[in-house]
Formats: sequence, C-alpha cells, structure tokens
Amino acid sequence: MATFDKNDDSVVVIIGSGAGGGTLGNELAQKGIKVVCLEAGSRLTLSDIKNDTGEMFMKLSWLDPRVGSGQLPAGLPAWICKTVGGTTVHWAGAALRLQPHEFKGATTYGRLAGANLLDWPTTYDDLEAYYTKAEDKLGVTGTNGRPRLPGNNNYHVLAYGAKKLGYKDVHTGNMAVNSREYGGRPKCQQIGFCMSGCAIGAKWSSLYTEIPAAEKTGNFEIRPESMVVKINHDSSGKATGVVYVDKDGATHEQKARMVCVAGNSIETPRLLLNSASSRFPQGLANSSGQVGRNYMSHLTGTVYAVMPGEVNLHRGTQMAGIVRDEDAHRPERGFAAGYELETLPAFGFPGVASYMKPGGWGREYAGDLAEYRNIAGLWIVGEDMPQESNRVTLHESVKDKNGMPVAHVHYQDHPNDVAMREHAWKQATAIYEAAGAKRVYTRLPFPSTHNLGTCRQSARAADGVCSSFGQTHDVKNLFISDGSQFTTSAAENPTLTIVALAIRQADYIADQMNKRNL
Amino acid sequence: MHKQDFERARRAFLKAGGSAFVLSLIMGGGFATFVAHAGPLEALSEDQAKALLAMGRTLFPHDSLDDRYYQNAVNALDTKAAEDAQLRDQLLEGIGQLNAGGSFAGMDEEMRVAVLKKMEDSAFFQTVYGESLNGLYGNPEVWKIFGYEGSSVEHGGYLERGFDDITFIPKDS
Repeated sequence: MATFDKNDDSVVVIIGSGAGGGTLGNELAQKGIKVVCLEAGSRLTLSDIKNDTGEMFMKLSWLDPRVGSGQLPAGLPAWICKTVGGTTVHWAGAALRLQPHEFKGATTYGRLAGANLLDWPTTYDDLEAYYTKAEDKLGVTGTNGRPRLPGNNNYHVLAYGAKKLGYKDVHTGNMAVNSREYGGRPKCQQIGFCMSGCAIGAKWSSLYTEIPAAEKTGNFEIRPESMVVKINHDSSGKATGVVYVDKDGATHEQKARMVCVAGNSIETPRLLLNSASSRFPQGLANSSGQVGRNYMSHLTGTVYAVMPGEVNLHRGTQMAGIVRDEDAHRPERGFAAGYELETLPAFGFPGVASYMKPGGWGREYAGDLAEYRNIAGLWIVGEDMPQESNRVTLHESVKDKNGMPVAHVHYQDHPNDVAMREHAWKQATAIYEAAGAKRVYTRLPFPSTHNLGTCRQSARAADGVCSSFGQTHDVKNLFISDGSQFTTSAAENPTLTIVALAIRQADYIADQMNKRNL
Repeated sequence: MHKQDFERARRAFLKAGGSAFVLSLIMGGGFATFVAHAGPLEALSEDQAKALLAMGRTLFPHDSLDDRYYQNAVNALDTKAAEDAQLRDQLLEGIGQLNAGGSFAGMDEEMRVAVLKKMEDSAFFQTVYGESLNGLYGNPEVWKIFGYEGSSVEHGGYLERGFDDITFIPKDS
C-alpha cells in the first residue's frame, strides 16, 4: 500500500470510491499511474455487514443534510451511500447494458416539450468492448458464458404472470451477483439482504474488489473520511489540487496533476459549484450553465401484490428477476422511451408495512400485512426525461458541518414520466392479477438511488459539461467519472455503464498522458 | 385511483420531509432500529396511555395480538415525551382531541376510525402513526408471528432453505 505526499503534484486525485471512482482508481493504478482516492465515508469490512436493514441504512447512507423540493422528500431527496465503495456496497447488482437507441435520445424520441434531450457524444459501438470488459470485471450473469442465477419465489410469481400476459423476455437478469464462484468471490447463498451490503461478498462491490486490487499495485492510496470541499486551479485555468476536511475536522490540500470527480450526481455538481472562483464565477467547468441541471433519477415506482400462497419475498437475491419487453421505444403506448420491471427488494417486514401503502392504516391494510408471507413485489425502472429545471444547486442558507452549502435537489416529473409510470403500474397490476393476486398496491418512488445527468456529456461545449471521455470542456485536467456524465438516463440500472465508462476513461487518460497532452 | 394514490403519497412525503420525522416516517419506519421499551410511565397518565394504545390498535388492528405488542410504541412515546416538552404538549393536545367526544378507548372500532379519519393530517397523528408502525412491525417477536425471518446469513441464507419453494403456481423452467 502506498502513501503519497500532499505536495506530490504527480498524482491523480479521484474523489469518490464507488462504481466510477473505485473502478477508475484501480484501472489507473494497474497502468502504473499514481492515484490518491479521497472518500468522504469510512471503510467497512465484510464483518461489519449485517443482515439488518435499519443498522445498515444508518451505516452506509449519506445522511449529511440535503434539501429536496418538488416531489422529492425534503429531508432525504436521494438514498445513496457515504462509505468506501460508495453505492456499490448498497446496489442490488442489476448490471444491464444500455440499448443502442438510448444513446441517441434526441434523435430517437424527437422533440418533447420541456425535455432537454440530447444525443450522447458516445455511441453503443464506442462502448461495446468496454461493456464486455465491465461484465467480466463484475462477473455479470447471463453474459460471456456465465450462467444466470436461479429464480427465487418472488421471481417465479413475476415470471408466471408475465408469461401468461404474453411477455417473452423474462429471466433472472444480468446480475453482478455470482451464480458460481468467480473473481475470488463466492457463489450467492440467496441470503436476501443484497441492498444492506452482501455479507459474503458474492455481489460485486468496489469495496472488496477494485480498491484492494488497486492497493496491491503500490500506486494507490485511499483516504477514507476525507470530504473534498473545493477543487483549486491556477491562473491558466488548470486544476492543481483539492481541499479536503479529514475526520478530525482538519483541512488539507492535496496537490494533483489531474482531478477526477466521482461523488455521485448530487455531490459531484455540488463540489463543482462550490469551487467557483473569480475566473469561474458560475462554478468550475460550468461555462455552459449545465452543471447541476438535467438531474435524472429514473422513472421509478413500486407494485406489491397479495398472492394466494406463500412467497416469502425476503428470501433470495433481491433483484434477480426482470421483464424486459417494455424497454423498447414504442410511442404508440403514449410515451417515449421504455422501462424494465424488476423484482423488488422489500426491506423486511417493517419495510413492507411502511412502503406498501405509505400512510396506510385500518383493518384492510393490517389484514394484508398479516398476510406478509404471501406478498410479492416489483420495482419499475424506466427512462425519465432530462429537464433543465430539475437540478442540483447550492442551498442559500443551509450548510454542512464543514461550512459548505448543502445540495438543494429539485425534481418534478415530466408528463412523459407520468404517462410511463401509469402504463407500468397497469401492466404490473395485470401481471399479478394473471398470477392470481387478491389485491395489488401501486405506489410512488422511494427516495432515489439512481442519480444521473448533472454534468452531462455533450459534443458541443455549450450543451453540456464534459466530452465522451468525461473530460470537462472547460478544464482539460478535470474529469467527471460517475453517473453525472449520463446525457440521458436510459431505462437500465446505471452501474454497468458507469463502470464501462470508467474503464474507457482510464484508457483515454493513460493515452493522453503518454502523448503528454495531460 | 393511481392519481389519488400519487397525490396522497406526495403530500405525505412533503409533510414528512423537513420535520424530525423524515427518517422515522420515510425510511426509518422500515429502517429505524427497534428498541424495546418498558414502563413505568413518566410523562403520561394511565388514561392517556390507554388512549394511545387504543389508537395503535385502531391503526393496525390484529385481533390475535395482545396489548403488549402495541404497548411498546406507547412506552416509546412516553419516554420521548418525558425529555421533550414540545412532544409532550403535542401528545396531550392530540389525546384531548381523541377524547373530545367521550373516552376514545371506550368507543367501538367504527367510532374510533371516524375520529382518526378527521385527524389524519395532524402532526400528532403522524407522530403516533410512525411510532406505532415501528413499535409493532419492527418488533422481531411480531416478525415471527407474521412470517418475516430476519437475518439469514448465519443460517447459510436460503439456498438450501426454501428460496424457491413456491407451490401455488408452476415454477418457471
């Protein structure tokens, strides 16, 4: 394990250690490039991971203050992580490629009033080889010869109903959860607590893959509990390092040859905006005014069904179950883009009681909860429209313990999102009714775990923040390395694409360093 | 129906946010750690506690469960109210409203439901709702009764213990 001097300006500083930052750090370290990774959260080990939804929520989540508005919960606008490994500790493991047409949102969907659609400057073909690399890194089931996972009871209810309705593309998905031993990680034991952290490491997380692998190279240092508050630059407009606060509240500067930001789509724009200077008064890399805008969180929703027999949906891999037939763009349904239906992580009995019908009470509701064993559920995840007014800004008055303005996150559905959710609720209800449901509950999103788009890729500097490689248009040694890069959200869970982009970005950075362009 | 659900949930979200109950109501109903509370009462009288117990039983009626499963939330509220004058005032005022038309605990269920329906939007209702939900459905003893099995890793997960033992529909091949 390496340690680097804070004045060593030959290191690449990466902010965040999740799917983007953790992957990029390891890829660069493997190439012999020196990396200091600054992570706001603390470092857990597998023995810290318990099968306890409440305890793990408190251990993993980003609970620093944020302000939500629009339709977001005011105090918890998003549910993401603050821990080494970031949201890869918490994710369910669904690892899907985006579809080729989804990289061309503006071209495919045409003009939609209020939607700030743009084609990605990256195509599916640009990313295809990197998707394969990402799938091999994560050990994704159902790809490159790896078998799919077996389905749990909740999957069988979904599959039975879906096939009765005529759906064809129904299976246990492409999961970064081992169906057999792979990558030094064991086979999934169907424990049922994926989103509280996988206690045996069968699910890929950068916490116990990328980060230790990077440390072994001697080129990588991770500093947990190090919250970056500002990116510095010189008079030529080049990034020179970052200012961060350690766990004792002491402030440090780490010099850098290059800075890569991977703090998830709320913290990444917050940091760029907080790095405003006389040269960059709108914030760093924000000459377009697009930093923080086009915040997307996926069109989501949930459906629960009380079935005629036992499901015990807490048993088994939470999200290994998918219906993909609705993920194409078929405007005759009354909306653009598409969605997936995926088996639901139920978050235990108290989770079902809280979320099946928020605010629900009385004899009918309690009666359905008493049939907990018989409850099945699915999660809707679809493409939401980018809107300029959905955005992350610095809050005017609320500050965190370091004195940094907190993120104000605003989100309101686009009419296309509303139409898609209505369609998905209707189809999901039909699926469960076809399987014999006694009652079906449809409900709105949980606080978002998919946060995307706030520093989007664009071909033209005026339309977005960074290039196809995540390099910011304004500051050439500043990179965006997380889901903030997404130009549009697409229907698929985003992690695999974040990993593929990070591997590709590492190749680009190494190539540019060799050519002495960076 | 969807539109109404949407509006109702949205309002619940907005209301919950910004208050101290954001975690307990939105995430924490599910994710707060359950703590067992035992008497004696500190802030509330026996009669006041009885009204809250009747409220819990009306919100989440399970005739097969005896009072002790509902008492836990009442005791939790009492403990918190002993340290928080504002909460105590909120509870006392709310209990006063429960009893405005006669002893709430003495009413039949239909009447209790009618009283609560009128109070659904109050902060008092939200407080007791969140605590009752967590106190009841967060209790591992209640999990056992309704079939939630809790931590599984120490038993080797469900790979050999019924993750795919469904019987009421044919299994996907």
